[in-house]
Amino acid sequence: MLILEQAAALVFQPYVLGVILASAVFGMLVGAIPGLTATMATALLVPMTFFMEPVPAIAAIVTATAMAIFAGDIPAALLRMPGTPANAAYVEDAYKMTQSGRGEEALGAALVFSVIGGLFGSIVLMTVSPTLAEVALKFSSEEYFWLVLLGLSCAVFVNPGSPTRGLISLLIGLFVATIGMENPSGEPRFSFGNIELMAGIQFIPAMIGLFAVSEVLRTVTATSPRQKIPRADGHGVFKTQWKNLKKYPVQTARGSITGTALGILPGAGADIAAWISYAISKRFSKQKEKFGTGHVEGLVEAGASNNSAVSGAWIPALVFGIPGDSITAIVIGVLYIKGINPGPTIFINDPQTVYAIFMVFILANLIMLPLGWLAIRGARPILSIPPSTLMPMILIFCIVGSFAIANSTAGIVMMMVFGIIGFFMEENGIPIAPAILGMVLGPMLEQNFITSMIKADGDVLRFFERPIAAGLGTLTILVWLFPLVMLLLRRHKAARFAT
Amino acid sequence: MIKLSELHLGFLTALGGMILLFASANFGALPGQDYGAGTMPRLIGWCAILLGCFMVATSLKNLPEMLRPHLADWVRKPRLAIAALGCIAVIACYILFAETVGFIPMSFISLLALMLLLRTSLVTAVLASLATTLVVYYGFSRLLMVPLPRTEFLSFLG
Repeated sequence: MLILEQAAALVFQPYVLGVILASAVFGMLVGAIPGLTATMATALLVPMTFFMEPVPAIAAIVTATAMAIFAGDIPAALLRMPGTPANAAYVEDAYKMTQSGRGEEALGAALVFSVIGGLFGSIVLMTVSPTLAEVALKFSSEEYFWLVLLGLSCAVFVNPGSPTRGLISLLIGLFVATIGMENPSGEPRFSFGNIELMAGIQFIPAMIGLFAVSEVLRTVTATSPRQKIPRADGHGVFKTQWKNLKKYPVQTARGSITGTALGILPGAGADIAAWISYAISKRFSKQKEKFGTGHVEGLVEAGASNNSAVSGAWIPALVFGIPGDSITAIVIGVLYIKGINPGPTIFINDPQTVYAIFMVFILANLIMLPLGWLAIRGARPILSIPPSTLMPMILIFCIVGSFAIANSTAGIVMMMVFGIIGFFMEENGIPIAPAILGMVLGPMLEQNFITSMIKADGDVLRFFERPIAAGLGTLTILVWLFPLVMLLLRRHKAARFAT
Repeated sequence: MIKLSELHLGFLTALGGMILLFASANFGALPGQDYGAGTMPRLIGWCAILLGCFMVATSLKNLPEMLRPHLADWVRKPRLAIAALGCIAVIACYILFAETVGFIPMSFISLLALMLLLRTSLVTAVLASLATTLVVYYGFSRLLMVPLPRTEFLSFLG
């Protein structure tokens, strides 16, 4: 009880509440602008959080992320341009609803069911994390090695897109993580005598480059013209949502559960959760033919799913120190900078901070209702800002943000280099998320691998001796075999179709 | 920019792996152990070589298609290519000149130049550049106490 009181005291301060409100507005602005993702909102926010105490810093990220993912529905519904990849699954339905004069109903559904999903995910986070942490306390280097490898494998093989390109991205991230002196023997690697590089690649400027600068470059080189914004339809944001909730309780529950489960899976995240939930909704719907024509059912399920995944992704991040998605990968970096080491011991050493984070999740989701309503009503001016004015502003913010981390131009150089690398990667269909996970998890993978190899005297089979390690190892190998199984299934299907 | 095919990417990945193996050849092991600073880079190198070889092998089936260069759409439009180069030039100029010129003039000039390059109207560009520069300057320099490069003749701004 005392811990809860201490946690509440950390959260319910005018400063923290002010930070939550300001980050909600910020997340809303970033999410509402097509092309600017929730990850980019987090990346741009990190330099600010650098100057905050841990709880307001985490509160800022949690709130901005949840808000950005919802706000991404606004351009999806009004312009057929999903604000973030997590909104792309149901963009057709949302846009068609707007075209038939039900835009506010579509956005209202996205808002209300995002809040429901987010609250569900938060409750699971609060109840599951402490129990899992107790189990995780018994983990040794072998379990951590497999868990990290499982997370990295999921990021490559479970995500949509080419696994080979995902692997290239992961190898880039793992290589970047080897730069510097932070390795088992403390020997400088790939630093070429440069003092800045000896300390390793600065994570935050690299991440600002990979996500924000590359996105600026992509936007200024975009060839498709901008669309006109339709006028408000006056149907009301909340008017039909109670009816939707009564009509689709199974879909709401299923979306929330699927989203949380996929969020927990290291390497997956809100984007993949929304796509899978939309597909499940269509598969089990009585009105399959209406999907993609302006039907609210898929929007309800996928909307609940993408926001519950945001909370779910925090479970492996807090309990094992292994990010569930690229946003929690950034958060783990922030936690380390703040001197808080995520992992099971955080529940023993710093329980008040953990419970304060739980409270922040509930607050962030509740605050979404009024702010989301305001955003829907006031979205048109935000969407009217031309990229030609906005992108230079974002670029200057990136420059100053990268400088602020160490008050050195080395941060800006790293940001520029990684911005160009990120742009090159995205232009060639190489996803960025596995690289970020590789950068964050690389040192953990290396440390646990070397420790386990020394303990096992080079015998790889001893990695399977402990029961949990054996289970995790088997699961990881199954994930590696996943693309092969899919390929065989496709071939089998094609052969059957041919006959 | 040429969009790389599976064959090109495979070749580059394998090459990168080989360079990594070569560069990590002299990293020492922990005293009395077979493992050390070189273990992880060498593992990454071998993975890259295997992946690269796999990509090259699987793309040999469609060799003519894989060898044909695919240009990104924006490369054919000089205005967009210049815009991308302009963004990189702005960052490079900031790195080179901000310490000498100071944050306020450097940020204002960078923003204005980039906005005009992206075809924002002059009045909007001037106003937006000025407002952004001052907001960022006060936000970071005064509120967050980040020592942004100062300009002597503008020291009255704080």
